[in-house]
Amino acid sequence: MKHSFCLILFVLGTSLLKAENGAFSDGKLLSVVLVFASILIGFFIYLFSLDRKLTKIENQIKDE
Amino acid sequence: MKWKHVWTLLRKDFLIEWKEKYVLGAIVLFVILSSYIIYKAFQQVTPMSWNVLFWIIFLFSGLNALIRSFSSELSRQYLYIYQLAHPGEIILSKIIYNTAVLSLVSIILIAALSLFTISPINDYKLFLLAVLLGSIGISTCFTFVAAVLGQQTSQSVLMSVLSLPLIIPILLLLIKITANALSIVDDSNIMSDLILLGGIDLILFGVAMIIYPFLWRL
Amino acid sequence: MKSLWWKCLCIALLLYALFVGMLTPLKPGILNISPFLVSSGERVSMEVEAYNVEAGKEWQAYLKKDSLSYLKASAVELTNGKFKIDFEIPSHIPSETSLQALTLLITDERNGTLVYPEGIQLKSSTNESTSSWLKEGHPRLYKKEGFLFPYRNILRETIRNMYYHVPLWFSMFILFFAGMMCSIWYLKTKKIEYDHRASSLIYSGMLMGVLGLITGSLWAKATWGAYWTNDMKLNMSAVSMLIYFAYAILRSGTEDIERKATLSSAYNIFAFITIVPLIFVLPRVADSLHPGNGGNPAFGGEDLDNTMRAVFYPAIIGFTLMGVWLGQILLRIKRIKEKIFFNKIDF
Repeated sequence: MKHSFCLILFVLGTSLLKAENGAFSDGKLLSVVLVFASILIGFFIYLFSLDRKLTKIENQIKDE
Repeated sequence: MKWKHVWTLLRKDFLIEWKEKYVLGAIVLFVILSSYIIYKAFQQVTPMSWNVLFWIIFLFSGLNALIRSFSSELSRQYLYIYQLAHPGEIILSKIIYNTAVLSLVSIILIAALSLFTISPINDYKLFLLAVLLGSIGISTCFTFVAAVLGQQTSQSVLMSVLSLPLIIPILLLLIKITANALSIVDDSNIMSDLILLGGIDLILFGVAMIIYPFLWRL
Repeated sequence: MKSLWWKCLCIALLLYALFVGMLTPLKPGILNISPFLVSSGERVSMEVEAYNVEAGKEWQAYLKKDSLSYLKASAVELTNGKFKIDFEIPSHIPSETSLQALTLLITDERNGTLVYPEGIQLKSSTNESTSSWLKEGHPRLYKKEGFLFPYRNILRETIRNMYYHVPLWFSMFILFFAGMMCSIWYLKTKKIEYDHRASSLIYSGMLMGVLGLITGSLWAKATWGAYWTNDMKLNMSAVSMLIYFAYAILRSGTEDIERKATLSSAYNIFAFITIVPLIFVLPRVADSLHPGNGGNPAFGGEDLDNTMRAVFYPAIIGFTLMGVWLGQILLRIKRIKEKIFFNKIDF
């Protein structure tokens, strides 16, 4: 079930890329997607570091 | 704030420096040594690289000289001085003293570099003015960071990390102005750069004076 | 719920910036022209690759030298997204120089005007020059109506990065400014809470700055051709990030809480004061590839038209709120940590 979902996503994504081929090859739309993805990744890394901090505090509370 | 106190503190700093001659000697030797290394390493120095090398040696010998401006005195002696003087007077005297040291370093450096390599300076008035304004700005930054770090044990490591990024704007302006003085580039609008540099100096100086009273008792 | 409204606003604004910024189509434009070198007195037939055009009503094409000199094309034909344009260039051209840059304009009622600024070089073989080409009056240039982003020649679709790259810098600057205010307030009141606020804001501002650098370098690769250029504004922002990394090092290098708070507050204020000339004054001294510097057009004029403003300003607010939100979570973690440290919490 999970795999088929991934597959559908992949097919959708690639077909979208192909359908909008003009925008991606000539229009440089890929750069915009990369920019937004890098922002998201940055936020996720920040969230991960917060997560680690919270885990540390939780462990500290458990210890006492 | 009294000018008399500032003057006394300044005299105290100069007297200490005069008594411990090795520090001054070390700085002078550092400058001469690095000029000599450059003479040996670069067979031919162009005015362009002379300009950059001048500021780099200036920066690092200044960093070496000013790193001790707040840690050289014993903490007890510190407490005594702080009883007598306003913190603004202390930082002002330190900045003036460090500016003097940096100006001295720059003059020795000009002489040493000119002796070993070439002396490409065409416009001495502009060059010395730039050096003076730069000394004020850089010494303000260095003194402030030294004050922030105070007597911390890891001081010498942190000092360069904290102070070097702060002086990059001043340094870039300086390199541009002195490139004019060396006739590498010709910019008729150099006056506005000097005014900008003076403005940055003034702002940094003002902020250092305002913030230091919050720091000094630590 | 009371404290949630601005977080919902943040999400709404960011989603708005994402969807409207990504889905709004661009106006039609010109991708490239061949040949781009023409000489006077010849009859040229140009192949022009167009972007985003639909079937037009009646196409007209002009070569423009200045607002007084237009040359109308003798024939314009659109097939498969490609124009074929014929020009009969007269032997007398309104120019003293032997090489003259011309702007190609293609216009239609339905598609608006496609512009390729100064993309055509005109070589003159004779030294005679006339004062003007204009014979039939100003050409009628149409404008495409509707909510569309402008087409810019090298930028193309990356003009959308305007909503995802530039707001990061704005929000970084706002967060750093707020952090400095908190630091000032800390030095005034000596309440550790304000230092926590300052450092949280600074850290989330640093996140924004680092992301700004990364997105900027991705955008630079697409438009300027390299990830890292010698651009003044770019290097200055890198330096300002270095200053704040030094701030982080100072904080982690100091043990005592109160001492750490005071020292880092003082350094923070000083750092912000040096950032101001760094970002705003120095790029005006040296050249920059960014808009608004070194002869490039600034924001405001043609680059940021009203449709773009409608997405750009909300994006700034959205990213700033996002930064405040991320900072607030960090702040709350710090508060809990402090409470545990002083054993004020009941388990």
